Amino acid sequence: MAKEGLLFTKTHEWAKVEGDTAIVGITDHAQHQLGDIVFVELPKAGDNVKQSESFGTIESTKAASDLYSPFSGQVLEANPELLSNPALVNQDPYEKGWMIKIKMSSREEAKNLLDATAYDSLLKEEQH
Amino acid sequence: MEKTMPKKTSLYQKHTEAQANIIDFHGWLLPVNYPAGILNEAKQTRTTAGIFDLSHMGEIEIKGQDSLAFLQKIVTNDVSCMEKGEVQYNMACNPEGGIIDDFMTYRKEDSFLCVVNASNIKNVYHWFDKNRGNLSLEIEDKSDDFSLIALQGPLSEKILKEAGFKTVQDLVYMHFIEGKADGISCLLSRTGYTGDDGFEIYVENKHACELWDLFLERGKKHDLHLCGLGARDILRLEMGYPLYGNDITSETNPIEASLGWAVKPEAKDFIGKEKILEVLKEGIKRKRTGFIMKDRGFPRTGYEIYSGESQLTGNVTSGAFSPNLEKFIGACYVKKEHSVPRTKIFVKIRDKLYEAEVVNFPFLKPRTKKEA
Repeated sequence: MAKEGLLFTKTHEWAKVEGDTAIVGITDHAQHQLGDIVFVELPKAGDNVKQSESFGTIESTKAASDLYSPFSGQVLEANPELLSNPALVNQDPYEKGWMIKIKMSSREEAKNLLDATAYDSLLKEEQH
Repeated sequence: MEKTMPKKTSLYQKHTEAQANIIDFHGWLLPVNYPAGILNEAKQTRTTAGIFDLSHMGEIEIKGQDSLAFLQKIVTNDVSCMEKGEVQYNMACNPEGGIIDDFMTYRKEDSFLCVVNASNIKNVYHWFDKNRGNLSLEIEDKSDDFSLIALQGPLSEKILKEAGFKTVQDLVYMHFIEGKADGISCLLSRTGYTGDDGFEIYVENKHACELWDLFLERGKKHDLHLCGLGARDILRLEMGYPLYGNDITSETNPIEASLGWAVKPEAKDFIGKEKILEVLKEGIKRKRTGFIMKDRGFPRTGYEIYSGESQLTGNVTSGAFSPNLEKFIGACYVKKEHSVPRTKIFVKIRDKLYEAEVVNFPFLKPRTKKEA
Protein backbone atom coordinates (compact mmCIF):
# COMPACT_ATOMS: atom_id res chain seq x y z
CA MET A 1 0.00 0.00 0.00
CA ALA A 2 1.42 3.38 -0.98
CA LYS A 3 2.00 5.81 1.83
CA GLU A 4 -0.73 8.38 2.35
CA GLY A 5 0.16 12.05 2.19
CA LEU A 6 2.77 11.50 -0.52
CA LEU A 7 2.65 12.17 -4.23
CA PHE A 8 4.13 9.77 -6.77
CA THR A 9 5.57 9.74 -10.26
CA LYS A 10 4.94 6.99 -12.81
CA THR A 11 8.67 6.29 -12.57
CA HIS A 12 8.35 5.33 -8.88
CA GLU A 13 9.66 8.41 -7.12
CA TRP A 14 7.75 9.89 -4.16
CA ALA A 15 7.48 13.52 -3.06
CA LYS A 16 6.48 14.90 0.35
CA VAL A 17 5.35 18.52 0.12
CA GLU A 18 6.06 20.71 3.16
CA GLY A 19 5.17 24.33 2.39
CA ASP A 20 7.50 25.42 -0.41
CA THR A 21 9.72 22.37 -0.12
CA ALA A 22 9.42 18.91 -1.59
CA ILE A 23 11.42 16.00 -0.15
CA VAL A 24 12.07 13.33 -2.78
CA GLY A 25 12.98 9.64 -2.78
CA ILE A 26 12.12 6.36 -4.50
CA THR A 27 9.32 4.03 -3.47
CA ASP A 28 9.54 0.67 -1.75
CA HIS A 29 8.50 -0.97 -5.02
CA ALA A 30 11.41 0.70 -6.81
CA GLN A 31 14.03 -0.28 -4.24
CA HIS A 32 12.75 -3.84 -4.30
CA GLN A 33 12.96 -4.01 -8.10
CA LEU A 34 16.48 -2.61 -8.10
CA GLY A 35 17.90 -4.96 -5.49
CA ASP A 36 20.96 -4.09 -3.41
CA ILE A 37 21.75 -0.43 -4.04
CA VAL A 38 25.46 0.28 -4.15
CA PHE A 39 25.68 3.84 -5.42
CA VAL A 40 23.52 6.95 -5.62
CA GLU A 41 24.60 9.99 -7.65
CA LEU A 42 22.76 13.16 -6.61
CA PRO A 43 22.86 16.85 -7.59
CA LYS A 44 24.37 19.53 -5.33
CA ALA A 45 22.62 22.29 -3.47
CA GLY A 46 21.95 25.11 -5.92
CA ASP A 47 21.47 22.85 -8.95
CA ASN A 48 18.21 23.21 -10.87
CA VAL A 49 15.89 20.31 -11.55
CA LYS A 50 12.87 19.97 -13.81
CA GLN A 51 9.76 17.86 -13.41
CA SER A 52 10.07 14.49 -15.21
CA GLU A 53 13.73 15.08 -16.01
CA SER A 54 16.66 13.14 -14.62
CA PHE A 55 18.23 14.56 -11.46
CA GLY A 56 20.64 11.73 -10.76
CA THR A 57 21.44 8.04 -11.02
CA ILE A 58 20.93 5.06 -8.78
CA GLU A 59 22.96 1.90 -9.20
CA SER A 60 22.24 -1.53 -7.89
CA THR A 61 24.33 -4.66 -8.35
CA LYS A 62 22.24 -5.36 -11.44
CA ALA A 63 21.84 -2.07 -13.27
CA ALA A 64 21.96 1.72 -13.28
CA SER A 65 18.75 3.75 -13.43
CA ASP A 66 17.99 7.42 -13.82
CA LEU A 67 16.10 9.25 -11.10
CA TYR A 68 13.32 11.55 -12.33
CA SER A 69 12.27 14.65 -10.45
CA PRO A 70 8.63 14.98 -9.35
CA PHE A 71 8.94 18.77 -9.22
CA SER A 72 10.87 21.59 -10.88
CA GLY A 73 12.91 23.90 -8.71
CA GLN A 74 16.23 24.38 -7.00
CA VAL A 75 17.98 21.70 -4.96
CA LEU A 76 18.29 22.79 -1.32
CA GLU A 77 20.08 19.70 -0.05
CA ALA A 78 21.11 16.19 -1.07
CA ASN A 79 21.14 13.44 1.56
CA PRO A 80 24.82 13.19 2.63
CA GLU A 81 24.23 9.77 4.28
CA LEU A 82 23.62 8.10 0.92
CA LEU A 83 27.21 8.68 -0.15
CA SER A 84 28.61 6.30 2.45
CA ASN A 85 25.51 4.21 3.02
CA PRO A 86 23.45 3.78 -0.15
CA ALA A 87 21.77 0.72 1.41
CA LEU A 88 19.58 3.17 3.38
CA VAL A 89 17.47 3.43 0.24
CA ASN A 90 16.70 -0.31 0.49
CA GLN A 91 16.26 -0.27 4.25
CA ASP A 92 14.16 2.88 4.71
CA PRO A 93 13.09 4.32 1.33
CA TYR A 94 10.58 6.85 2.73
CA GLU A 95 12.53 8.21 5.70
CA LYS A 96 16.30 7.73 6.09
CA GLY A 97 16.60 6.96 2.36
CA TRP A 98 15.41 10.44 1.28
CA MET A 99 17.40 11.80 -1.64
CA ILE A 100 16.95 15.52 -2.27
CA LYS A 101 15.04 18.50 -0.94
CA ILE A 102 13.73 20.88 -3.60
CA LYS A 103 12.51 24.45 -3.34
CA MET A 104 9.56 24.09 -5.71
CA SER A 105 9.15 26.66 -8.46
CA SER A 106 5.55 25.72 -9.16
CA ARG A 107 3.27 23.93 -6.70
CA GLU A 108 0.74 23.43 -9.50
CA GLU A 109 2.98 20.76 -10.99
CA ALA A 110 1.42 18.50 -8.33
CA LYS A 111 -1.49 17.93 -10.72
CA ASN A 112 0.87 15.91 -12.93
CA LEU A 113 1.59 13.49 -10.10
CA LEU A 114 -0.30 10.50 -8.67
CA ASP A 115 -1.80 10.22 -5.21
CA ALA A 116 -1.45 7.04 -3.11
CA THR A 117 -4.53 5.37 -4.57
CA ALA A 118 -3.53 6.13 -8.17
CA TYR A 119 0.01 4.86 -7.49
CA ASP A 120 -1.36 1.62 -6.06
CA SER A 121 -3.43 1.16 -9.22
CA LEU A 122 -0.32 1.72 -11.32
CA LEU A 123 1.50 -1.00 -9.39
CA LYS A 124 -1.35 -3.43 -9.88
CA GLU A 125 -1.35 -2.73 -13.62
CA GLU A 126 2.40 -3.21 -13.87
CA GLN A 127 2.12 -6.63 -12.32
CA HIS A 128 0.23 -7.90 -15.36
CA MET B 1 11.91 -19.15 -35.27
CA GLU B 2 10.27 -20.21 -32.06
CA LYS B 3 12.18 -19.47 -28.89
CA THR B 4 12.81 -22.61 -26.86
CA MET B 5 11.40 -22.64 -23.34
CA PRO B 6 14.01 -22.12 -20.64
CA LYS B 7 14.88 -25.23 -18.66
CA LYS B 8 14.40 -25.85 -14.96
CA THR B 9 16.89 -27.65 -12.77
CA SER B 10 15.69 -30.40 -10.42
CA LEU B 11 15.84 -27.85 -7.62
CA TYR B 12 13.64 -25.22 -9.28
CA GLN B 13 10.75 -25.67 -6.90
CA LYS B 14 13.06 -25.27 -3.90
CA HIS B 15 14.05 -21.87 -5.26
CA THR B 16 10.52 -20.65 -5.87
CA GLU B 17 9.49 -21.86 -2.41
CA ALA B 18 12.38 -19.86 -0.98
CA GLN B 19 11.12 -16.79 -2.90
CA ALA B 20 14.18 -16.56 -5.08
CA ASN B 21 14.47 -13.88 -7.73
CA ILE B 22 14.64 -16.12 -10.82
CA ILE B 23 16.20 -15.20 -14.17
CA ASP B 24 16.84 -16.91 -17.49
CA PHE B 25 20.54 -17.68 -17.47
CA HIS B 26 21.64 -19.07 -20.84
CA GLY B 27 18.38 -20.97 -21.17
CA TRP B 28 18.13 -22.03 -17.50
CA LEU B 29 15.78 -20.62 -14.87
CA LEU B 30 18.00 -19.96 -11.89
CA PRO B 31 18.06 -17.73 -8.81
CA VAL B 32 20.08 -14.55 -9.19
CA ASN B 33 19.44 -14.01 -5.49
CA TYR B 34 17.16 -14.95 -2.61
CA PRO B 35 15.46 -12.48 -0.23
CA ALA B 36 18.71 -11.86 1.67
CA GLY B 37 20.09 -10.08 -1.41
CA ILE B 38 23.23 -10.44 -3.49
CA LEU B 39 25.57 -8.53 -1.18
CA ASN B 40 24.50 -10.36 1.99
CA GLU B 41 24.79 -13.72 0.25
CA ALA B 42 28.32 -12.94 -0.96
CA LYS B 43 29.36 -11.75 2.48
CA GLN B 44 27.76 -14.66 4.31
CA THR B 45 29.50 -17.28 2.15
CA ARG B 46 32.86 -16.08 3.43
CA THR B 47 31.61 -15.77 7.03
CA THR B 48 29.78 -19.09 7.47
CA ALA B 49 28.75 -20.92 4.29
CA GLY B 50 26.63 -20.63 1.17
CA ILE B 51 24.78 -23.23 -0.92
CA PHE B 52 24.40 -22.86 -4.69
CA ASP B 53 22.45 -24.73 -7.40
CA LEU B 54 24.87 -25.15 -10.31
CA SER B 55 22.96 -27.83 -12.18
CA HIS B 56 23.09 -25.79 -15.39
CA MET B 57 26.81 -26.56 -15.79
CA GLY B 58 27.74 -29.05 -18.49
CA GLU B 59 29.33 -32.46 -17.94
CA ILE B 60 31.05 -34.10 -20.91
CA GLU B 61 32.52 -37.55 -20.38
CA ILE B 62 35.44 -38.88 -22.41
CA LYS B 63 35.90 -42.66 -22.29
CA GLY B 64 38.02 -45.20 -24.11
CA GLN B 65 41.54 -46.22 -24.93
CA ASP B 66 42.64 -42.94 -26.49
CA SER B 67 40.94 -40.55 -24.03
CA LEU B 68 44.21 -39.29 -22.60
CA ALA B 69 45.80 -38.78 -26.02
CA PHE B 70 42.66 -37.00 -27.21
CA LEU B 71 42.49 -34.61 -24.28
CA GLN B 72 46.20 -33.85 -24.48
CA LYS B 73 45.62 -32.76 -28.06
CA ILE B 74 42.67 -30.51 -27.16
CA VAL B 75 43.53 -28.87 -23.85
CA THR B 76 46.28 -26.48 -22.80
CA ASN B 77 47.26 -28.05 -19.46
CA ASP B 78 49.18 -31.32 -19.07
CA VAL B 79 46.50 -33.90 -18.39
CA SER B 80 49.04 -36.74 -18.26
CA CYS B 81 50.21 -35.39 -14.88
CA MET B 82 46.80 -36.01 -13.38
CA GLU B 83 46.33 -38.81 -10.88
CA LYS B 84 43.01 -40.56 -10.56
CA GLY B 85 40.93 -38.52 -8.16
CA GLU B 86 42.50 -35.26 -9.22
CA VAL B 87 40.88 -32.16 -10.73
CA GLN B 88 42.69 -29.84 -13.11
CA TYR B 89 41.86 -26.42 -14.56
CA ASN B 90 41.96 -26.45 -18.34
CA MET B 91 41.22 -24.51 -21.49
CA ALA B 92 40.46 -25.61 -25.02
CA CYS B 93 41.81 -23.26 -27.69
CA ASN B 94 41.13 -22.80 -31.38
CA PRO B 95 44.04 -22.80 -33.86
CA GLU B 96 44.38 -19.01 -33.43
CA GLY B 97 45.03 -19.52 -29.74
CA GLY B 98 41.66 -18.07 -28.75
CA ILE B 99 39.85 -19.67 -25.81
CA ILE B 100 36.85 -21.85 -26.68
CA ASP B 101 36.02 -22.57 -23.05
CA ASP B 102 37.63 -22.97 -19.66
CA PHE B 103 36.63 -25.97 -17.59
CA MET B 104 37.60 -28.37 -14.83
CA THR B 105 38.83 -31.82 -15.85
CA TYR B 106 38.26 -34.75 -13.48
CA ARG B 107 40.35 -37.91 -13.86
CA LYS B 108 38.10 -40.79 -12.89
CA GLU B 109 38.88 -44.51 -12.74
CA ASP B 110 37.96 -45.23 -16.38
CA SER B 111 37.23 -41.86 -17.90
CA PHE B 112 37.67 -38.10 -17.85
CA LEU B 113 34.89 -35.71 -16.94
CA CYS B 114 34.99 -32.14 -18.30
CA VAL B 115 32.76 -29.72 -16.42
CA VAL B 116 32.11 -26.90 -18.87
CA ASN B 117 30.29 -23.57 -18.80
CA ALA B 118 26.53 -23.74 -19.31
CA SER B 119 26.78 -21.24 -22.16
CA ASN B 120 29.28 -23.41 -24.02
CA ILE B 121 28.07 -27.00 -23.67
CA LYS B 122 27.14 -27.40 -27.32
CA ASN B 123 30.23 -25.55 -28.57
CA VAL B 124 32.59 -27.69 -26.53
CA TYR B 125 30.85 -30.92 -27.46
CA HIS B 126 31.03 -30.07 -31.17
CA TRP B 127 34.66 -29.01 -30.85
CA PHE B 128 35.56 -32.30 -29.17
CA ASP B 129 33.61 -34.29 -31.73
CA LYS B 130 35.10 -32.42 -34.67
CA ASN B 131 38.63 -33.10 -33.46
CA ARG B 132 38.39 -36.74 -32.46
CA GLY B 133 40.05 -37.91 -35.69
CA ASN B 134 40.47 -41.66 -35.80
CA LEU B 135 41.02 -42.02 -32.08
CA SER B 136 39.30 -44.78 -30.16
CA LEU B 137 37.02 -43.03 -27.70
CA GLU B 138 33.46 -42.09 -26.72
CA ILE B 139 32.39 -38.52 -26.10
CA GLU B 140 29.15 -38.25 -24.19
CA ASP B 141 27.23 -35.14 -23.11
CA LYS B 142 25.92 -36.13 -19.70
CA SER B 143 24.81 -32.64 -18.64
CA ASP B 144 21.15 -33.60 -18.34
CA ASP B 145 21.95 -36.54 -16.06
CA PHE B 146 23.60 -34.55 -13.30
CA SER B 147 22.55 -32.01 -10.73
CA LEU B 148 25.33 -30.02 -9.12
CA ILE B 149 25.22 -28.45 -5.65
CA ALA B 150 28.04 -26.27 -4.34
CA LEU B 151 28.70 -25.73 -0.66
CA GLN B 152 31.27 -22.99 -0.11
CA GLY B 153 32.69 -21.18 2.90
CA PRO B 154 34.63 -21.80 6.12
CA LEU B 155 31.92 -23.99 7.65
CA SER B 156 31.26 -26.09 4.55
CA GLU B 157 33.42 -29.01 5.72
CA LYS B 158 31.62 -29.17 9.04
CA ILE B 159 28.21 -29.13 7.37
CA LEU B 160 29.20 -31.91 4.97
CA LYS B 161 30.53 -34.03 7.77
CA GLU B 162 27.30 -33.67 9.70
CA ALA B 163 25.40 -34.53 6.52
CA GLY B 164 27.09 -37.94 6.46
CA PHE B 165 30.23 -37.34 4.37
CA LYS B 166 32.38 -38.96 7.00
CA THR B 167 35.80 -38.76 5.36
CA VAL B 168 35.49 -35.21 4.06
CA GLN B 169 38.38 -33.91 6.20
CA ASP B 170 40.79 -36.13 4.25
CA LEU B 171 39.80 -34.62 0.91
CA VAL B 172 42.25 -32.01 -0.34
CA TYR B 173 41.64 -29.06 -2.71
CA MET B 174 41.38 -30.03 -6.39
CA HIS B 175 40.65 -33.66 -5.57
CA PHE B 176 37.47 -35.71 -5.53
CA ILE B 177 35.99 -38.96 -4.27
CA GLU B 178 33.00 -40.98 -5.33
CA GLY B 179 30.87 -42.61 -2.72
CA LYS B 180 27.64 -42.61 -0.79
CA ALA B 181 26.33 -40.31 1.87
CA ASP B 182 23.07 -41.10 3.60
CA GLY B 183 22.55 -43.78 0.94
CA ILE B 184 22.86 -41.30 -1.94
CA SER B 185 25.62 -41.91 -4.53
CA CYS B 186 27.55 -38.86 -5.53
CA LEU B 187 30.85 -37.38 -6.60
CA LEU B 188 32.28 -34.98 -4.05
CA SER B 189 35.08 -32.63 -5.09
CA ARG B 190 36.88 -30.06 -3.04
CA THR B 191 36.61 -27.36 -5.67
CA GLY B 192 34.75 -24.15 -6.23
CA TYR B 193 34.49 -20.77 -7.84
CA THR B 194 34.82 -18.73 -4.66
CA GLY B 195 38.42 -19.17 -3.50
CA ASP B 196 37.12 -20.12 -0.10
CA ASP B 197 37.22 -23.67 1.25
CA GLY B 198 34.34 -25.44 -0.42
CA PHE B 199 32.90 -28.41 -2.24
CA GLU B 200 30.94 -29.32 -5.33
CA ILE B 201 28.65 -32.32 -5.19
CA TYR B 202 27.50 -34.09 -8.35
CA VAL B 203 24.39 -36.19 -7.87
CA GLU B 204 21.72 -37.88 -10.00
CA ASN B 205 18.78 -35.57 -10.64
CA LYS B 206 16.37 -37.77 -8.71
CA HIS B 207 18.38 -37.25 -5.50
CA ALA B 208 19.04 -33.52 -5.87
CA CYS B 209 16.15 -32.28 -3.73
CA GLU B 210 16.86 -34.81 -1.00
CA LEU B 211 20.49 -33.74 -0.80
CA TRP B 212 19.62 -30.02 -0.93
CA ASP B 213 17.19 -30.46 1.98
CA LEU B 214 19.74 -32.49 3.92
CA PHE B 215 22.38 -29.77 3.56
CA LEU B 216 19.93 -27.04 4.54
CA GLU B 217 18.83 -29.05 7.56
CA ARG B 218 22.36 -29.70 8.81
CA GLY B 219 23.47 -26.23 7.83
CA LYS B 220 20.80 -24.41 9.80
CA LYS B 221 22.77 -24.18 13.03
CA HIS B 222 25.86 -23.11 11.08
CA ASP B 223 24.01 -20.23 9.42
CA LEU B 224 24.17 -21.74 5.94
CA HIS B 225 22.77 -19.30 3.39
CA LEU B 226 20.99 -19.84 0.09
CA CYS B 227 23.03 -18.09 -2.60
CA GLY B 228 22.30 -17.23 -6.20
CA LEU B 229 24.22 -16.34 -9.34
CA GLY B 230 24.67 -12.71 -8.32
CA ALA B 231 26.62 -13.65 -5.21
CA ARG B 232 28.53 -16.29 -7.19
CA ASP B 233 29.68 -13.62 -9.62
CA ILE B 234 30.95 -11.33 -6.84
CA LEU B 235 32.78 -14.17 -5.09
CA ARG B 236 34.63 -15.31 -8.19
CA LEU B 237 35.53 -11.73 -9.13
CA GLU B 238 37.01 -11.17 -5.66
CA MET B 239 39.45 -13.96 -6.57
CA GLY B 240 40.08 -12.73 -10.10
CA TYR B 241 38.65 -15.94 -11.60
CA PRO B 242 37.68 -15.38 -15.22
CA LEU B 243 34.10 -15.62 -16.43
CA TYR B 244 33.76 -16.95 -19.97
CA GLY B 245 32.00 -14.46 -22.16
CA ASN B 246 33.15 -11.51 -20.06
CA ASP B 247 36.86 -11.93 -19.26
CA ILE B 248 37.79 -14.65 -21.72
CA THR B 249 36.40 -15.31 -25.18
CA SER B 250 37.47 -16.86 -28.45
CA GLU B 251 39.20 -13.51 -29.12
CA THR B 252 41.47 -13.71 -26.07
CA ASN B 253 44.47 -15.98 -25.70
CA PRO B 254 45.47 -17.57 -22.36
CA ILE B 255 48.68 -15.56 -22.04
CA GLU B 256 47.09 -12.13 -22.22
CA ALA B 257 44.27 -13.48 -20.01
CA SER B 258 46.85 -14.13 -17.27
CA LEU B 259 46.12 -17.85 -17.48
CA GLY B 260 49.54 -18.91 -18.78
CA TRP B 261 50.01 -21.05 -15.68
CA ALA B 262 47.50 -23.54 -17.13
CA VAL B 263 49.29 -23.77 -20.47
CA LYS B 264 52.08 -26.33 -20.92
CA PRO B 265 53.56 -26.05 -24.43
CA GLU B 266 56.83 -27.68 -23.34
CA ALA B 267 54.96 -30.87 -22.35
CA LYS B 268 52.97 -31.67 -25.49
CA ASP B 269 51.34 -30.55 -28.71
CA PHE B 270 47.84 -29.13 -28.61
CA ILE B 271 45.53 -27.11 -30.82
CA GLY B 272 46.58 -23.46 -30.65
CA LYS B 273 50.11 -24.23 -29.41
CA GLU B 274 51.93 -22.57 -32.34
CA LYS B 275 50.03 -19.33 -31.94
CA ILE B 276 50.56 -19.35 -28.19
CA LEU B 277 54.30 -19.90 -28.61
CA GLU B 278 54.34 -16.92 -30.99
CA VAL B 279 52.61 -14.77 -28.36
CA LEU B 280 55.09 -15.91 -25.73
CA LYS B 281 57.96 -14.99 -28.02
CA GLU B 282 56.67 -11.59 -29.16
CA GLY B 283 55.12 -10.61 -25.88
CA ILE B 284 51.51 -9.67 -25.18
CA LYS B 285 50.09 -6.29 -26.15
CA ARG B 286 47.33 -6.20 -23.57
CA LYS B 287 46.77 -7.94 -20.25
CA ARG B 288 43.86 -8.97 -18.07
CA THR B 289 44.30 -7.48 -14.66
CA GLY B 290 42.34 -6.31 -11.66
CA PHE B 291 41.55 -2.81 -10.45
CA ILE B 292 39.97 -1.10 -7.45
CA MET B 293 37.99 2.11 -7.80
CA LYS B 294 39.44 5.06 -5.95
CA ASP B 295 36.66 7.45 -6.92
CA ARG B 296 33.21 6.18 -6.04
CA GLY B 297 31.59 4.70 -9.13
CA PHE B 298 30.38 1.37 -10.48
CA PRO B 299 32.68 0.01 -13.24
CA ARG B 300 30.39 -2.03 -15.47
CA THR B 301 31.32 -4.47 -18.23
CA GLY B 302 32.12 -2.64 -21.44
CA TYR B 303 33.08 0.72 -19.90
CA GLU B 304 36.17 2.27 -21.44
CA ILE B 305 39.42 2.67 -19.51
CA TYR B 306 41.83 5.54 -19.98
CA SER B 307 45.42 5.86 -18.88
CA GLY B 308 46.86 8.76 -16.90
CA GLU B 309 47.43 10.68 -20.11
CA SER B 310 43.73 10.33 -21.02
CA GLN B 311 44.39 7.84 -23.77
CA LEU B 312 42.07 4.93 -24.32
CA THR B 313 43.89 1.89 -23.01
CA GLY B 314 41.27 -0.80 -22.57
CA ASN B 315 37.88 -1.72 -21.16
CA VAL B 316 36.16 -3.26 -18.15
CA THR B 317 35.28 -6.94 -18.61
CA SER B 318 33.77 -7.54 -15.15
CA GLY B 319 32.86 -5.20 -12.31
CA ALA B 320 31.02 -5.39 -9.00
CA PHE B 321 30.67 -3.96 -5.55
CA SER B 322 32.60 -6.29 -3.24
CA PRO B 323 30.88 -6.48 0.14
CA ASN B 324 33.89 -8.34 1.53
CA LEU B 325 36.25 -5.51 0.58
CA GLU B 326 33.61 -2.78 0.73
CA LYS B 327 34.92 -1.39 -2.53
CA PHE B 328 34.03 -1.41 -6.22
CA ILE B 329 36.38 -3.82 -7.98
CA GLY B 330 36.76 -5.08 -11.49
CA ALA B 331 38.69 -6.98 -14.12
CA CYS B 332 39.83 -5.39 -17.35
CA TYR B 333 42.13 -5.64 -20.32
CA VAL B 334 44.53 -2.73 -20.59
CA LYS B 335 47.66 -2.15 -22.65
CA LYS B 336 50.56 -4.08 -21.20
CA GLU B 337 52.39 -0.94 -20.07
CA HIS B 338 49.39 0.07 -17.97
CA SER B 339 48.90 -3.32 -16.34
CA VAL B 340 51.57 -2.86 -13.68
CA PRO B 341 50.11 -2.79 -10.13
CA ARG B 342 49.58 0.70 -8.69
CA THR B 343 49.14 2.23 -12.17
CA LYS B 344 46.52 4.96 -12.13
CA ILE B 345 43.73 4.37 -14.66
CA PHE B 346 40.38 6.02 -15.28
CA VAL B 347 37.07 4.30 -15.92
CA LYS B 348 34.61 6.24 -18.05
CA ILE B 349 31.21 6.09 -16.37
CA ARG B 350 28.46 8.04 -18.13
CA ASP B 351 30.92 10.40 -19.84
CA LYS B 352 32.95 11.23 -16.73
CA LEU B 353 36.32 9.76 -15.75
CA TYR B 354 36.58 8.02 -12.38
CA GLU B 355 39.96 7.12 -10.91
CA ALA B 356 41.00 3.52 -10.26
CA GLU B 357 44.18 1.69 -9.37
CA VAL B 358 45.53 -1.46 -11.02
CA VAL B 359 45.96 -4.38 -8.61
CA ASN B 360 47.01 -7.99 -9.11
CA PHE B 361 44.55 -10.82 -8.58
CA PRO B 362 43.34 -12.09 -6.16
CA PHE B 363 41.71 -9.22 -4.26
CA LEU B 364 41.29 -11.50 -1.23
CA LYS B 365 43.54 -14.24 0.06
CA PRO B 366 42.28 -17.71 -0.99
CA ARG B 367 41.36 -20.10 1.81
CA THR B 368 41.24 -23.34 -0.16
CA LYS B 369 42.46 -26.39 1.74
CA LYS B 370 45.62 -27.46 -0.04
CA GLU B 371 46.80 -29.87 2.63
CA ALA B 372 44.92 -32.42 4.73
